[in-house]
Formats: sequence, structure tokens, C-alpha cells
Amino acid sequence: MKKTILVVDDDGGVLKMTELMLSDGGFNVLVTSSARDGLAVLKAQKVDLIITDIIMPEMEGIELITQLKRDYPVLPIMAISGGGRSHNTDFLKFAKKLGAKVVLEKPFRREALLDAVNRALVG
Amino acid sequence: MAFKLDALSIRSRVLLLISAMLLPTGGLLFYDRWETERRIEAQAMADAGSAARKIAETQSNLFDNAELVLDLIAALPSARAENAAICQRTLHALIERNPRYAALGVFAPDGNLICASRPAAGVVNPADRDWFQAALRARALAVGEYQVGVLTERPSIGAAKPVMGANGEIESIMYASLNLDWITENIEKTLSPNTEFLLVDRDGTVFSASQPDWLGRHLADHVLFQLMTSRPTGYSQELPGIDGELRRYYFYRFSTSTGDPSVYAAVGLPLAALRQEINRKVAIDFAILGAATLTIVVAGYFLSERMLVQPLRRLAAFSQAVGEGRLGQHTGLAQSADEIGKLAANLDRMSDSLLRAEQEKGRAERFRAAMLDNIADGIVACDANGEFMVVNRAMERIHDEKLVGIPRSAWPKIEVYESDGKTSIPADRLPLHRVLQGEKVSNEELVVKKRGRSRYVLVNGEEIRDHDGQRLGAVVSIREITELRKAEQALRHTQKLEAVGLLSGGLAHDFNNLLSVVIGNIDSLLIRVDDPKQKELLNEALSGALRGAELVKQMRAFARRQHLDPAAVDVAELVQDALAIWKRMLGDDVTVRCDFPEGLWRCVADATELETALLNLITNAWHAMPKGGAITIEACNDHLDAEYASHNAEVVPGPYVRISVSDTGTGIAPDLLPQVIEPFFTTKEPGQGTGLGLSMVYGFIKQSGGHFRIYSELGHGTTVHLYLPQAEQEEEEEGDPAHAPDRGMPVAVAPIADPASCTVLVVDDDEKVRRVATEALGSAGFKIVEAADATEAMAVLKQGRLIDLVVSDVAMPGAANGYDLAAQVIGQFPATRILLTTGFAESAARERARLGAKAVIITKPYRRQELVDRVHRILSE
Repeated sequence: MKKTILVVDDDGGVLKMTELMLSDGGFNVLVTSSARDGLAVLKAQKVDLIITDIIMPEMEGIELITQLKRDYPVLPIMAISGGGRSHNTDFLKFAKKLGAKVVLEKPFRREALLDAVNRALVG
Repeated sequence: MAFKLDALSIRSRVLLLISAMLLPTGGLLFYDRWETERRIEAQAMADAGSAARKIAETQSNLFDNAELVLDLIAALPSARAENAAICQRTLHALIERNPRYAALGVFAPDGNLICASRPAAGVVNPADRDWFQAALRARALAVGEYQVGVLTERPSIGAAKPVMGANGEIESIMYASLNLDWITENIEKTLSPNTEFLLVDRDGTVFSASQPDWLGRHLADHVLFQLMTSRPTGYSQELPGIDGELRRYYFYRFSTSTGDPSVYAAVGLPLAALRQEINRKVAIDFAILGAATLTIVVAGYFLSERMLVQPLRRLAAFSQAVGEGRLGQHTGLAQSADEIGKLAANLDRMSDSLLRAEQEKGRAERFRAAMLDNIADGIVACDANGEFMVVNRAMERIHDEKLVGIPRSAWPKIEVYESDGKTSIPADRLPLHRVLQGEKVSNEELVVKKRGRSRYVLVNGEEIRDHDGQRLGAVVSIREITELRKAEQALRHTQKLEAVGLLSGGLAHDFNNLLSVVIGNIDSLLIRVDDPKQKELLNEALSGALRGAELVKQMRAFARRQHLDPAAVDVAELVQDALAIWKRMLGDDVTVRCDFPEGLWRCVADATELETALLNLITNAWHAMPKGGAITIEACNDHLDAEYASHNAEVVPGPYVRISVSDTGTGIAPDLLPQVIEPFFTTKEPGQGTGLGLSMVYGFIKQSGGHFRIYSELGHGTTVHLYLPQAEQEEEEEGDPAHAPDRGMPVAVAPIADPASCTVLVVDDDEKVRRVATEALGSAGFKIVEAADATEAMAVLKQGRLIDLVVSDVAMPGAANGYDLAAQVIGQFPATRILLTTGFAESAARERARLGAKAVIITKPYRRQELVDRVHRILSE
């Protein structure tokens, strides 16, 4: 049975590209462009993995991860980021500390994404 | 040599004064001598006159009286009596009563003695005597010459008068012998002692004289007699007398009653003797005067020494001491009540007041110097000739030498440039020159170079004029702003790097999204395309996109935004592992030497990125040595202290591992050195480098909490030091700030049983927002305290009231925002929890990382229930 992966990213291009890669990789892919919508999807259906961008308007990925760890403690989380806009915080490192199982820097190759997803789903 | 009164000493002047005072006395003595001589001469004349009168009187008296006496005798019957005895008694009685006559006698016309006043010794007959003959001849009174008397047998002058009978015949001759002794005595009585006189008859025989020896002397040939007879009566002349002694003689002549000149008189005054006497007296007077003078002079000498010279010497010594600046001394003469004492007292007061003024001046000078020296600006004042009069410590520090008293010709040689540090200013346009020419210099920024060191200075200056507008000199102040300029340059540099970092960081985020889309889609397309030609084209596109990704990664590294996995790194091990690959790259022309001491600490860094950084440095070193050379990789334990940290931005004092990579290459020019870490700065040929190598290293080291230093000398080589923090212990398992106890299902919030026992401090500057929060939490049963800002909130906390939770907005006016408040609360009130609300997601993420588990951050807008739930959850933990 295909695993379902929810991708949250405010960048439509990244969202679409990731969706294509994961679909090609044989996953069932759900996409939302905001954390709030992502949380709504989670409430509506079961998801095996959530991939979230960090820097997003309205509600950012860190907040989402924190909330996910609280509300869905066993849901594996993968954080992706191309870096902050104006501060030199290592967001991926922080995401990992908050509970992201796998982190991946943008831009990433198809193989790297699939490898990361597999690592996140294993165990 | 001209005599100068000014050149005389005081003592000489005193003695001269005394001598001058004695001069009139000497003059008086001379006058007295002259006056005495004159008086004596007058006296002599008077004496002589008086003697002459007396002589005349006596002469006249004598002869007149003689006739009378002769007539009397003639009339006496007893004398005409034949009785000689009676006659003799009568004549004797007459003689007894009339001492002018030595003898009286009566002679017969034949010369026989009839009677005499004394019995004759023998037969006496004067018939041959001139007076007898004359009397007979003249039948009248006749006076004889000087001769031995017929009766007295003593020198005398006889006078005879015939007595006529009734028929005119001569009956008898009456005779009187004049007493020459009486004449002499009588004249002598009227003369002053030592006055000589002599009476001479017309034959030149002396019949009366003051010297008995002269009686009878015949002077017919003597000059005295010649003068007596030839000169008028009253004539006087100085000439030697009979005895040869010099006298002034007065000459007189007397006539008898018959009118014939018969007697000559000379009165001689011993003027030479008198003069001698006068001179003797005068000599005595002068001797006395001389002795008195000597006494006065000696006394004057000693008294003037004691009373004038010594005090004046002390005054001179005192004035010399004062003149030489030894103030406060006293003359020691002020106790004296005289003028010198008053002068001395005044001088003592003057000395005291000068000393006080000097001390006052000294104190003022010390104050002035202390003030000047404590001014950070360099200050120099010079006179109109350019000699440095006042130089404060700061100015000497700037010039590194003593400057006071230096004339214009010896002004220190300094190179001065415009504020650009390159345009040299000629010596005559230096500020002090211009100010001395009346120009005013205001806040001019210049660069002073001395001994290879550049100082940035701000110069002010203007001329100094006195009340009359005369130029006294000029003053120039120099404020060193080197540190300020350096700090500004450093700040500009830092800001530039910061700006580049911000720019590249901001670009990186969006570029990564764009590149993600490009790379991801190409990747997806590649699996859909079978045509090798198409695959090749796609791979080309992919390669370009990946290069772009790499560039962004490097920019992020510089902007300190790359993803790092720091861990404890053994630098020696890391280098040894990579060395073989590096050596292969470098080839044989470059030797690599490594030096890692025993006991080298491990440092905290992302090992992969550290290796990349070292590779970058080695590549740079290699490129700097086109003809080959040596690269040295060293590491050591180091400690950066607070002092070092204060001069180097972003350095945290503490233990570090220092890794140094040195080459023997071309080196970098000093003015380019600060730029080498700027992104895209490169000294390499176009295409050889991106200019991001050192920027990446710099960014990586900074992001790793380390410190970067570069040192280079043109032609010698370059060394880059990387300081990385010492790894304290084995990597700790880092805590998870959002640690969740369980996995899987959402956790239900367990509300606090007794919210009223919990106090929540709500902090927000916006009253409306604050009210929403207080109402929500108040309705939930919590006790609420409010504060409008961080300061007020801290004040509430410090009042001692137990606050369980602080709910604060992040963005607040004032010195402290919500994050700062959170940090303060964490530090000072560890039991108090914090909930921050913010509208900025990114900063929230950053601050979460900073504040850790102590603070919870939620983003606005939040729902009312969400806030209440959060508070419940936090307080129940």
C-alpha cells in the first residue's frame, strides 16, 4: 500500500516539483501551501509522513513541528529549507532538535529526496 | 682716567663728605692766620705810632722841661748864692723830685763848677763840651750830643742855658744832665714786648734803645740811620736791625723847640718772629685739626662701616638673592628704627609678597598644567616667533617627544596629509603656520605620519592677541581620532559584510526555492526522457543549476546561514586524513608541513565544513605560490582573553584551538587585506576563482563561534589563523526544547485544577490587545496583573509578588522588547514561566533557539481559547 506524504510549502513551484518527484517515487502525495491547511488535512485523514518547509508566512514550520510533536507525537516529520531570509539561524538544526526526523537542504536532487523520505519512513 | 663720583664706594663718599665738612675749618685757620698777621701788623703800627708819640712827647717834654728847670735853677737865689753847700742841697732836692734828670749843676762862664746836685769826683770843667759852647755862643738853651756826663760820668745828653747879668753879660751857665735811663724806661713802658726802639741823635749815636747794648753805638753808616735821615716820618720798611734780626721798622724824626731836626727814632717790630709764632700756632691748630680730622675719619670709617656699609651690603645681598629668584628671604635689618630699617622692613614685606605671589603663581601654574595634561586633546601654544611656550602631555604623546621651548626653526619634522592620507601638506600650510599668519583653523581633519605610524587628527586653532590687538602667538589643539576612524572603518567594513550577508542570505532563500524547482523538475524529466541527446541537454541544464546551488551554498556559508553539524573535532586527525588528497592536488612543487602538538584540544566545528575551509585555504596558498613553495599547517591551544575580545568584534573570551595555514607565496598588499574576506573579492585572474573562498571560510568560522585572522607580507607569504572554540567535553546530548512525552495521538490539555492560585502578568503596550488577553485569562479563573512594558513588568516582579507566568508581547516600545524581558525573567526569576506572542514567525524561530525551553512563543493572531489552553499547559508542566 502506497504511503501518504503531506507536503507543506508556501512556494508553489517547490510544492509541485516535490509532488512530482514523490509521485514518481511511488508515494501518495498531499500538498498544502500553509501550515494551517496542513493541520486541517491531518485532522481529516491519516498521513504517514509530513514534509514541511520552515520559513512560511502566517505560521512557520517550527511552530508546525512543535504542534505536530505535541498533537501527533508519532508522525514522522521531515523538514526542508533553503535558509532564512534575514537571520543566520540554522533552522534545519533547530527543526531537528524540535523533533524533525530528517532534514534536507534545498535545493535537493530527486535521489536525495527519496533517500530522505525513505529514511524518515523507516523505523 | 676720569674721576667718577658714581664709582666711589659708600665709605669713600662718607669720608669725602667728612673731608668736605672739615675744609671750612682749614679755611678758617688760614683766614685766622692772615687776620692775626694783619692784626699784629696793625698793632705794630699802632705800637710804633704810640712809641713815636711817646718819644716825641718825652723828647719835647724833656727839653721843654729842661729849659724850665734851668730857668728855675737860675731863679733860685740859693743857686746864685756863693754858698756852694746851699746850692748843692737845693739842686739835690730838685733831682730827688725830678727823676728825668741825672744831675743838675751851675757853672761859671769859664766852666768852673759853682755847685752841683751831687759832689763831683774831681775837677769838672765842661767848657769844651758842645752844649756849653753852644749855650755861650747862642746865649740860649743848648742841647748837647750823647756823651758821658760831666757830673754823672754816665752816658747822657746835656742841656745848658746861660744866666744873663744886668748888663747882658753871662753870669753863669745852668746845666741839666738828662736821665737817658728814665727816657728809655718811659718809652719802654708804652711798647709791646719784643718791640725794639732806638733813638739816635743827629750824629747817628744811639742814646736810647730797648737793648742796653746799643746805647752809644754810632750808626752813621748803618742803613737804619740812612733811612732815618732820608725817609719821611712814618715810613716803614722791613730790614735786618742792628743785631741782624729781621724787623719792620717805623721811622720818625723829632725837632727841638728850635726847630732843628735833632732826634731820629726807629721802632722795630719783630714781624718774622711774630710770623713764626703765628705759624707755630697755626701749625698747632692744623695739627689739632689734622688729629681731629683723622679721628673723625677713622670714626667715620668704622661708624659708616657699621651704620651704612654693612646694612647696605646686606641690602645688596638681599636684593641679589631676590633678583636671582630666592624669594622669602629677609634683610635682618627691619628692627632698626632708622630709614634703612624702614627700607629693610619694606623690602622684607616686598619679598614676602613676591614669595606669596610666586607661590600663588606656582599653584595656579600647577592647576593649569594639571588641567592641560588631563585634557585628552593635544594643545600647543607658541609665541609670535613660533617658539613653543605651552605644550600639554597629550600633544607630546602625539609627537613622542618633548616640545616646550623648541623654536620655530626646530619644529618637529612631521609628515601631514589631508584627511585622505595621501595628499601631502607642505610645511608652510601646516595649521600652526597658518594660525600664526592670522588664519583660523576649525575642525580640520588631517593625517599625521610619524615613524611609519598614521594618526588621524582633528585640528583647531587660532591666533592669540593682547588687549591692544598685538599678536602674542597662536594656539592649536589636536584631537586624535585615529581610534574613532579605525572603529568607523571597522564598522563600515562590518556593516558592509553584514549587508552583503543579509543580501546573500535573503537571496539564498529564494534562490534555493527557485533552484529546487529547476533541479527537481529536471530530475523528474530525466527519468521520463530516453533520448540520449535530450538527456545530455537536460544534464547540462542540471549542471548549471547545481553550480548555481553551490554558489548559493557558498554565499550562505559566508552569510553564516549554512547548515552545520558541529561536533568535537580532532584537527590533527582531520588534517591527516585529508592530507593525501590535498598533496595529490598540490603536486611536487609545493611541500606541506604539519605541526600538531601533544595535548591539542578538540574543537567544536562541522568537520566536513572545516575540511572544506582548510581546502580553501590550501588552494589559496597554492595559487599564491605559482613557482612552488611550502605550506605549513599548524594547530595549538590558545586563549583569547577579554582584552583581546574588546578589540575584536564578535569574539567571546575563552579557550580556542588555533589552526594556522601559512604559505611562502606572494603575499597580499596591506591595503587589500581587509577586503579579502568580502564576497566576490579576488586577486586571481578572471575565471580562476569566485572570490568566495575566504568569505566562506570567514563565514563558517564565525558561524562556528570562532575567530578569523589573516596576516600577510608582500613577497613573504600569508598566514590565516582559524580559532575554533575548544570542545568542553564529549558531545552532550542536546536537550529538545519542545520535548514531547509521547508520540502518536494528540495530547489532551489537562486544565489546572485551581487557576485562582496562579497569577499571570500580562504585558502589552497596546491596551486593547492587553484587555483581550486579561479578559480571556481572567474568565478562565487566573489572577491577573498588568504591565504596559518590560520595565513596568520587571518592577512588578521585583516587588516580590509571586508571578507564575508572564504573558508578553514581543514588539514593545522602550529599551527592552519581549525577548529581552524573557531573558531577564529567566535570569532573575527562574520559577516564573514565560509565554511570548509575536507576529513575526522567523524571529520567533530564532528566539526559541535562544531562549530554550523556559519560554514558549506563539504567533499572532491566536484564538482566545488557544491562549487559555497554552497557559494551562505551561502551568501544568
